[in-house]
Amino acid sequence: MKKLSYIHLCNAIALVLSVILSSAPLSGAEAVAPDYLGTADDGLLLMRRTFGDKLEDITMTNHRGERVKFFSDLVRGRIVLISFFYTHCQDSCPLTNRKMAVLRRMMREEFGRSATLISISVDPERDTPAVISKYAKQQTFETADPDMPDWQFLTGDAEEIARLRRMMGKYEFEEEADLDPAKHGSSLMIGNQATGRWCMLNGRISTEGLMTRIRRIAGWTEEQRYHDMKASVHAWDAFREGRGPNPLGEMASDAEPPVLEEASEALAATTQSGRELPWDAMSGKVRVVTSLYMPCGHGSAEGIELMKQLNIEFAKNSDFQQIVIPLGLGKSVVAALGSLAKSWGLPEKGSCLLAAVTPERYRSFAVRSLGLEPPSAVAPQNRVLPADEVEYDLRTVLIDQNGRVRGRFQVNDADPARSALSGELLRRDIRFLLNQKNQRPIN
Amino acid sequence: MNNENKPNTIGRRTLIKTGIGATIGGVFNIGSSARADVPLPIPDSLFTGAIDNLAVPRWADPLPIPAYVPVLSAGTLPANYTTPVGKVLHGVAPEWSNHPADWDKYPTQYYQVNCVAGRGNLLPKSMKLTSAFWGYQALTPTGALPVSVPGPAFRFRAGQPAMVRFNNKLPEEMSIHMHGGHWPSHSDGHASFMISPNNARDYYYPNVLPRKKDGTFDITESPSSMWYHDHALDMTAPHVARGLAGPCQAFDDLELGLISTGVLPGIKGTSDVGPYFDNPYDISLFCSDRVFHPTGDVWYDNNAHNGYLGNVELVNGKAYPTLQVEARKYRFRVCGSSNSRIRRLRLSNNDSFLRIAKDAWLFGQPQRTQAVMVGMANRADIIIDFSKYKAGTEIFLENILPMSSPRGADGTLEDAEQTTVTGTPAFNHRILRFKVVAKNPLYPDATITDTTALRPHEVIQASEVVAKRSFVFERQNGQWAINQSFYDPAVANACPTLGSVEEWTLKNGAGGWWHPIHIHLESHQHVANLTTGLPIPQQNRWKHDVTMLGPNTELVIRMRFRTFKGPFVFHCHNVEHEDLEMMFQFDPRAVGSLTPQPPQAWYP
Repeated sequence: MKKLSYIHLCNAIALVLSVILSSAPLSGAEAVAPDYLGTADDGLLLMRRTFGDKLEDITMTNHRGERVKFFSDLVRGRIVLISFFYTHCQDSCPLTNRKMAVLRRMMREEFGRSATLISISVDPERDTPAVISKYAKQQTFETADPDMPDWQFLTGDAEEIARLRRMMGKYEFEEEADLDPAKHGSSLMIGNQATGRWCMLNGRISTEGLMTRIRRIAGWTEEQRYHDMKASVHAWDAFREGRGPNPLGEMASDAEPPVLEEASEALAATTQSGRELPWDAMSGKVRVVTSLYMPCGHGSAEGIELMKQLNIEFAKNSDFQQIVIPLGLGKSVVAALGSLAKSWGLPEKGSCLLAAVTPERYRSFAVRSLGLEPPSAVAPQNRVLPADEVEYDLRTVLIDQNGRVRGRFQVNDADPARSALSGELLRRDIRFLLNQKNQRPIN
Repeated sequence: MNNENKPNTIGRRTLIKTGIGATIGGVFNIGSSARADVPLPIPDSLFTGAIDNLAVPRWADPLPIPAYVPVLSAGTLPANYTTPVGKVLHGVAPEWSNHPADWDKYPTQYYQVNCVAGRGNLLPKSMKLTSAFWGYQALTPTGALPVSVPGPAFRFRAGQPAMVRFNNKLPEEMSIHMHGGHWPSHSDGHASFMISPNNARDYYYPNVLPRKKDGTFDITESPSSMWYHDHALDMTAPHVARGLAGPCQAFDDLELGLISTGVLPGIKGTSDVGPYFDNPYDISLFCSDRVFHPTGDVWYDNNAHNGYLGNVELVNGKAYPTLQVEARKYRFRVCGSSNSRIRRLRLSNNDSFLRIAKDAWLFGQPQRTQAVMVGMANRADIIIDFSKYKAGTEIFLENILPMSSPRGADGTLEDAEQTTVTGTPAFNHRILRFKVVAKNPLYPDATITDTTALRPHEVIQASEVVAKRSFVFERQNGQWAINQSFYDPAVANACPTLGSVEEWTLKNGAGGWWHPIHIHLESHQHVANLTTGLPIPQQNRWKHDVTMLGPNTELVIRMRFRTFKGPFVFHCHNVEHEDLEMMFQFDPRAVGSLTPQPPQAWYP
């Protein structure tokens, strides 16, 4: 599909800005409709506009130490993606930031600098300008890329921020819960003040899902908003008429899992017992290879949990073999294997092996044998955690008795439903390969 | 009130204020305590400056009655279908060209409807303020009806398929959900199966009943009072608040027989004759609430993700109207078309009346009641007998359920569902005035009594259940979750075996919120209330398409999954919660599964 470039957007933005600058503050009947909205009726605008236009113009300080007026400097005439955070958060904020970093790169292609990402502290007492400045430096997201949407971390007066948060519907009814920054919602607010469309987004759904919605809600033009939907219509039409693949892809296979490729290269690695991994001796077994990115506590915990469940379900079958590859531990990985195995409570016997691999060998094995995307270096400005030097494709790979890749599963997705589904599909295909019943009918 | 502004110097705002002031003084005699009910407060400081409830004159305008959507043709493609069926961008259900011959008992009727913007008198005409809205506009063979809120009424007949081409002429995506019906996945108004602007989707409504095990059509499942409304992903709540909702009634031979024989209100020879079954004694009452900006426009805030309450009540898109009724029995089809308001309705004189249906389905027999709870998207069909009142009598329909936030009603679900009203309710708010006139002697009164047999009902037995699932609906970090998860187009969360029966436990996790749970495709039945341990109230022992979960309610339901493969959705019908992903997919298929699966088909 044709995507609108940033340059194409400039005309639209200029039009919008001229409308806004030439009209009185938008309130009720005085509002003027930009004509691309499809209607010039002020009443329709009123239904669509009030939210963004009523956001308070409070003064806050950004991570660069600049004083900014929230509405007039950041929101007016722009696409904004707004989150709330606090620097002491150990739970959802790092995940939300990571997601926003990915969305930012996607938004660059669609919206360029017409979009801004805004993260507002819900803990302004502790998050002084100096603290958020340091936090932002740790996130290292500043970039010289002229098309990358700006991202500002903001702090300010506690009472004003609480009012703004309430205005955005991000509050709890019980005062105690409302005052607890840990209870702040992980939802995102997306809006385009100029077109008047706003929507609360659930921060926990997939980034592709979020981006489709961001385009639809905040896009400048009809084409930008709906090219995803139309592409999907055409892809499904093609599939139904036998002209194209199933748009659901690998997930849609219902019977025998497809052969994706040959796992041609052996895995040269050391196991938790200090011995060499007997890759060639595993021929004839169904193998499940899981890569875990250890610096991310959430994702690896989910991966470990699934590994344990699979072990309980399938380890009694001697044709089943699990291999777990911890990544991101640097040179200490070999020494760490033993204690990792113990802390995860994995069985002593060899149905689940931990494998320490050098980065070079992992790269080669992941690409040639597993068919995963090669690990790629992350530019400092795109890192969310300082440790995020390399981005890995963390799908779990299923290899059959003949050494052929039969599936790649995103079992540690940020959305638990999607992780659960991927886990189920992996189970289904393992059962199939182990010659168990493909699916358990319920009657 | 001050009426002394000089006409030649004032602006529009002042004129409005003057008009309102005059009206308040004239109608309510503020200060003389003539008011019999409690005005609704402006629900949130966000709406500061909104039109005050007391500024809206009462009972000034007649109740609007929605027009019928005209049938363009039967059996042949109408002239204003400029493209063949299925050749519009969003296509048509595969069932349209591939279905059993006995679905076509009568020739297919064709309709065409536009989603458009309009402007009209939601507030009484005397306020001289018009309101913009989004609504549905039915096409005629040569032109179009005016756009209205609620939209024009569909009238369907069991056994007679309908093809409706919906054209989206609005700048945002649409999805049309015909709520309460038994439809193919493509045409069901699934949140992800939308119509993009300037495009169309052909909705195929076969009006076919599910089959019993012996292959015959299951007449216990034939729907009566449905409604259609927008169901677009992320945008359902603002779209419904803007006005995108309308009535749809379906008739089968059993119900037509009740009208022909004079049991249910109607005119023999007219009300039992298609395609419109025209019936002046059978009236839809769409209850909704809004906040109005001083300019008269509907005021909705997109941050209302907890739910939207209004301070002005509308019936059929008109604030505080009057309906002139003859001294005889009427059937009213009450529909809760609000985003978040739950109502408990009664007559102002506390007289009893007969309730004959909940949601889409007639009861086995009428229930005598003094009050009905109507939650979001719930329907209640009631028979009010005005024959005992003298001409000139005024009776009001009033809501006696206080609601101070979108969280839910004040008090418990069990209280709200009580069918008797004793003493003076702590809260009452009148929404509609009935004014009784003499009965037209040409048309005999309906004969329905407390013991009339209506629609046969079959209780789903425990022995039929082949799978059990449970779903917990709760607020999590300010978001709306089911089983700690959210709507995902790639995940069919429940995959029942087509034709089977399942038992689901619906649990309201915590937080004191009320969640009305709507399950598409078929009716469900209440089995047990695990929270109270009390028997299921009489009005809930039939069928449901929206089940209200009060704070901490844990309810067991049973449901069949017949005729159509998925995916379909089930969700909270506090539509703001639905927009924030409190929605799951279920996907009936040849071989079901207890675990989540990818959806088996997709109709974008």
